[in-house]
Amino acid sequence: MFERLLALRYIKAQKRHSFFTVCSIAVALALVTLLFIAFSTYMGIRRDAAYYEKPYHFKLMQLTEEEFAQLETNPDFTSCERITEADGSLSAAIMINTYHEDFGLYINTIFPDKYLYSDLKETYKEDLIDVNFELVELDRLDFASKYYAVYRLALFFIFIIFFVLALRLMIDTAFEISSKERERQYGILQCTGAAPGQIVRIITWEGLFLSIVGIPVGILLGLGLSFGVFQAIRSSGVAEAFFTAEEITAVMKLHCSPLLLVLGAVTGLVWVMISAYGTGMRIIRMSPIQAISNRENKIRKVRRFSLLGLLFGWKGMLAARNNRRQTKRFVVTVMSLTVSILLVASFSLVLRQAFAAFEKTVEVLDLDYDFGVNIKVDPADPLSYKEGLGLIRESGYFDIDTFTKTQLAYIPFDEDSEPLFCLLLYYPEETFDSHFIGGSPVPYETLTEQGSYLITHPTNFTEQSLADVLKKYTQFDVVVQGRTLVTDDAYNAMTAEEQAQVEDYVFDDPVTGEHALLYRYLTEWTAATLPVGGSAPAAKTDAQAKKFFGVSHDYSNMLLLAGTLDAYENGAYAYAGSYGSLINSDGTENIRLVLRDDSTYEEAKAFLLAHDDVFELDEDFFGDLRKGRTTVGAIQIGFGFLSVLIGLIAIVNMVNTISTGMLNRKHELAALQCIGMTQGQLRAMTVIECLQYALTSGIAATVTIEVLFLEMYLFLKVIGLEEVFGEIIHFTEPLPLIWISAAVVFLAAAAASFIPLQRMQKDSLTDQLRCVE
Amino acid sequence: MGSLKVEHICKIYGKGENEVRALDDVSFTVPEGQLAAVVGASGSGKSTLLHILGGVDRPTSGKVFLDEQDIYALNNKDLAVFRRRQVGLIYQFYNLIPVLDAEENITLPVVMDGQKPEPAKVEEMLQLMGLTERRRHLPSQLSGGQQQRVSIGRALFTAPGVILADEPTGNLDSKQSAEIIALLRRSNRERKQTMLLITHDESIARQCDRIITLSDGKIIGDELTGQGGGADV
Repeated sequence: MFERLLALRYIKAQKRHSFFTVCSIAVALALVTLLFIAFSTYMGIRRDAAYYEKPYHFKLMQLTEEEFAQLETNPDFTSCERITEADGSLSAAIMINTYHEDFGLYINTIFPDKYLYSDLKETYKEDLIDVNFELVELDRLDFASKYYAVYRLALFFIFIIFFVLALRLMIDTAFEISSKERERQYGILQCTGAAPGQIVRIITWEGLFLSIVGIPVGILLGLGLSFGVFQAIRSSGVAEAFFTAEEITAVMKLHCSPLLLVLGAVTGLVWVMISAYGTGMRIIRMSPIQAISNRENKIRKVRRFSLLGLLFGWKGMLAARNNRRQTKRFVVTVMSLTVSILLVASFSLVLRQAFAAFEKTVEVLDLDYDFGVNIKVDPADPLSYKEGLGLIRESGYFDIDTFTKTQLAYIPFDEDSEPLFCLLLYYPEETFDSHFIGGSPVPYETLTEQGSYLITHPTNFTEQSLADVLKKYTQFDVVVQGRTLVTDDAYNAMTAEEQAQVEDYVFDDPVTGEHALLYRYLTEWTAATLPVGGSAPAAKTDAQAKKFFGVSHDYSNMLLLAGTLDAYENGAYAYAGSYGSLINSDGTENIRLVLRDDSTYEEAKAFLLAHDDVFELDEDFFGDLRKGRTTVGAIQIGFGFLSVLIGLIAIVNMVNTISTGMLNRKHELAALQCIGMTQGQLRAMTVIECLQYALTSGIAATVTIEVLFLEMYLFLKVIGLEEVFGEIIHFTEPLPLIWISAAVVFLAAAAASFIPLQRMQKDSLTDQLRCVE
Repeated sequence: MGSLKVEHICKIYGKGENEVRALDDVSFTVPEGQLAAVVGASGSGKSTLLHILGGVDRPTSGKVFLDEQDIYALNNKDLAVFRRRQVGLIYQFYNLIPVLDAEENITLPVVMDGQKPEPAKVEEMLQLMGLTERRRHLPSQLSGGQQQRVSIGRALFTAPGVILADEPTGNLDSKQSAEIIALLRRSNRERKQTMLLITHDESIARQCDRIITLSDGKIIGDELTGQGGGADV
């Protein structure tokens, strides 16, 4: 087989080109391997996490010994683990390895009499069986999970399709470069009788031989790269956002599916063969004399006007026309560069915007506290929250963000006018000043001593009207609503008439629909005289409430009277009956806490959880936000990595395209110099060619991102959130990033063009021309 | 303006055992306005000589003078300017720029010089080359003869003192060859240009003023044909 012999000889003769082609194949394969391993690792970690949480495909509960014995002999099960539950009942944790079209129907075949699965409702009997749906899905045990697996794979392949194209271009150009200089040889071979098929076979053999080296090297490189990236991710702390320390040890492992590696290798081999075949076909489409004389680029039409020509004169005109000679290649390269610039420049930006939107949401939702804690209270003792509050204060971990005792009251005025409803708000000393713009005009101690209140800022009151109220009233005669708990015994002892006065506090569970009577109470109204200590506009909440809800806060039609928590504890609580508070009437008092030192988060949380007899941790925004921020950060890192990867591929492709273009025009560039073009002019022309790549990509990226931003803005407008989130869209913000990326592209291209130029200059013009003659 | 003097030119390729002497101590002078043919077998060093005379390739030793100026004393940039202004090179395979049309190819050396081609001069050259109708055609849209005429037009457009043609008819049929030679001869006479023509075709060589014969890099013959002009070997 002379084709094989020649292929080997060419590889040996053109060591540098062969090395370059092997490198291109290896790099392409390494990147594909990295992606495939990333995918299998992601799926593997998900699977392990699902197994870690529930180490079974399903758990059958409330079993008898006979049933368990029956399960142990089931041939479908790979394991059937005996579990004795806390209540002494017997359960079996089961793993299976068989595929079942409908998992529910299969479950029903285990104990047909139990009807563990309702096909009609598509639900399982939760008291008898617990199915680990995620594990079932990830182990592809039923039709739906196979469907999702195919769906996931399809998404993955759509995602990597760009990589595939970009990487193929990389191999393509490597082949083109190495075969370019051999075109003459192929022409001669054809002249001496080689059939076109034989020429193609020489090149495909060459591809095969180079693949034998390139593909294993690429896969090994990819494995090494994957390991490095995985270690970097592990040590970056990203995993901690999703898993506990034990889970990390159990699930954070690199998964390397041999099937995907084989798939990667096959893909790589197919690319190489297609590239080699394509190169062969291109060569045999030329006549032997064309190949010998290296005279392709049959240009039929040129566009006479060009912007570059206008800007840079004849050099710009030549550069523009040169770039248009390989329109398809130019467009593909510019497209890949544009996508890369968009990714590199805008991913970080979009994610920063997303981060800003995230922070904005946090701000708008008034989530700028770390923990929401419900302090358990005794319904019969309005001051029983003091134990929990005291513990929090003593712990030293927290600052109080908000703690408010609230009572509803009204000012009766006279019979002719409508009563004015007001809220009595009692704030602790730590936060008292923060509730008023500019702080409290009267010291906390004074207000406590006097038991007086500050008129604060209801939105339908102007500051002037507040001042007028203040002038008019030094005290208010109010009627305060109170609730007194009615125990079951007391309720049963009441007459029907008295019972009619009693109200029920019921709880409707939105999820289960449960309707529960929590307690009964009597509403009482207690007359009180409240001294006025001053007035101050309320801080926070109002503007935010208006922005987010489109209205002022809920108390807009009420007069707000702010008192001190100490005053409340000193006696004001008595106005509100035994229940003490109107708003938090479900047996808890909500307190919002801010961590004094973020690094104590874990300890502080442990403290709250350890006192579950006193507190109930209702909201962990610090953890949630940290998780959110870390997730955004992780996505940022991931996408940043991918975009840099795509950027590198695009730049390598551009470098290859430019190098190939220069080599293709080696003879022509020599001819230009023969008729008087200086090396400086030649370099200038090639720099302008590179500039066109960068400029076109930069402009395309700019237009694309502006259109995306506009669409985003219009979308926000349509859903009515442009006022809230519109401010995070800055049309000019991505431009510096885009043009910095374009400048990097330009510099890389210019550097890339100088290398072949420099190599060419080593030969005399005669030698450069001699490749033709 | 255009006398060419070659002094002891040597051009050696390779080293040691692989050493090839493409030109071996070649010396001659071509006076201004003379049309000289360089003939010889393949590998005799004709093209190498032409490239060295045209400032395209540096000799290993020896000097080339154009109007008493040693062209290889010039740096690369000045040498490029020299090729642009003082020499017109014509190749067998034309070496046209595929993205430029006939007119743009012809005017390229002037444009490269930062000048604007004079329209009248462009018209005159296109007319002279018979390319007026083909001025907007790209090289790929022209026949071999037309391409060679574009190449000659490009070489003549700057009115250089010396025209060097490397088998300008080597790729053309006899009718086109005759046209090209007539064009060169006409330019030689009308513009008093010094011309050196490499050819394998004896009949073409006989139309020149002088025939220099090369063999193995050495001049083995130098004769005046009696067509005009004189030689000073």
